[in-house]
Amino acid sequence: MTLYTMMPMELVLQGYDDDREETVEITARGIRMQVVPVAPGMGRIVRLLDCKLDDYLDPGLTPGTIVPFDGAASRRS
Amino acid sequence: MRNDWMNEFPGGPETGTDDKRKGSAIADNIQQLGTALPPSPAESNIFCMTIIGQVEGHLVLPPQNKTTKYEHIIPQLVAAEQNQKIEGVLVVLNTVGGDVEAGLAIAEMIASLSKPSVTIVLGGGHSIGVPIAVAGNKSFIAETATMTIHPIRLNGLVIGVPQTFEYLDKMQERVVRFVTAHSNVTEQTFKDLMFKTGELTRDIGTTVIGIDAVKHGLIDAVGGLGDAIKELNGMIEARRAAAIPAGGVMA
Repeated sequence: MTLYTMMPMELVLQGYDDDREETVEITARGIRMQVVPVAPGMGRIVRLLDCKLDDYLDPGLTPGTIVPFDGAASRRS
Repeated sequence: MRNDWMNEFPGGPETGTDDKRKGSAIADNIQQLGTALPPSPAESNIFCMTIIGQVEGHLVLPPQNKTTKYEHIIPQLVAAEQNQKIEGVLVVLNTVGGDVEAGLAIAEMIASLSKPSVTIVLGGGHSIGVPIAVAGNKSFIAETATMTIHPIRLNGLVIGVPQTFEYLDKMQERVVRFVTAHSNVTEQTFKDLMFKTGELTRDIGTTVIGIDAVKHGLIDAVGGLGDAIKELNGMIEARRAAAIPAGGVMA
């Protein structure tokens, strides 16, 4: 892995060893995705894991979007 | 809660007939949007892709970084290529660089699109942003936008052997080769910019601003959003007129 950036490396990698936000795998809108739970039944999308190709063009499924999900279907990853 | 309030008025959602439901939808719009008709987004034939912050690759960066995730961008490009409603791709860049592999992967994907693509650098298109900026059929740079061209640095454990230098040189060569192949800059000029001293305070390399990027042949033209969209629409029209089969090359 080579980082090619004009930002100072110490600034980019600051806090790299800190604990990261815990993510869960959920199914929302019929799509398997990895989210960071922000409230019960609400998650912030980290990445899509299993979806149709055109779902990537949906602005509502961009990483960082908040989605509601059924809490029972989640699995810690 | 809103529905409870609505129920007290005639035309609330629970009162029955279709007309009344329609009435409540309008009331809802007025309440929420301040207008009777919701703004109906017209479907665009251009797909706009924004590359911002750090291009995140194999490593998840700490949360202070704003990142563009390549695992989302790459399938987006595949989808844009496949989707028949999309006729052109506009790539907007304001990036500080990032992962070499991820950046080059995105650049290669944009360069190999069969649909017309235009890139525009706003703010900054630094380091690995440079190959992405030149990947489109035509590239624009805002007058005030900057591009920093500097050598690749190694991070993590570095073994002090000649092979380390060779590896670094190879990585650098990938970037140089891509940029020179997809823009009008010569290898000599690009390397001169990359290894220039006395220009950056903490590094060697050069920052080129707007018109300078065009002078060096790195970017095709200085321009803003209007110019980029106009160019892209022109290319789309030309492609339609020529009815080039998929995989055709646009000049």
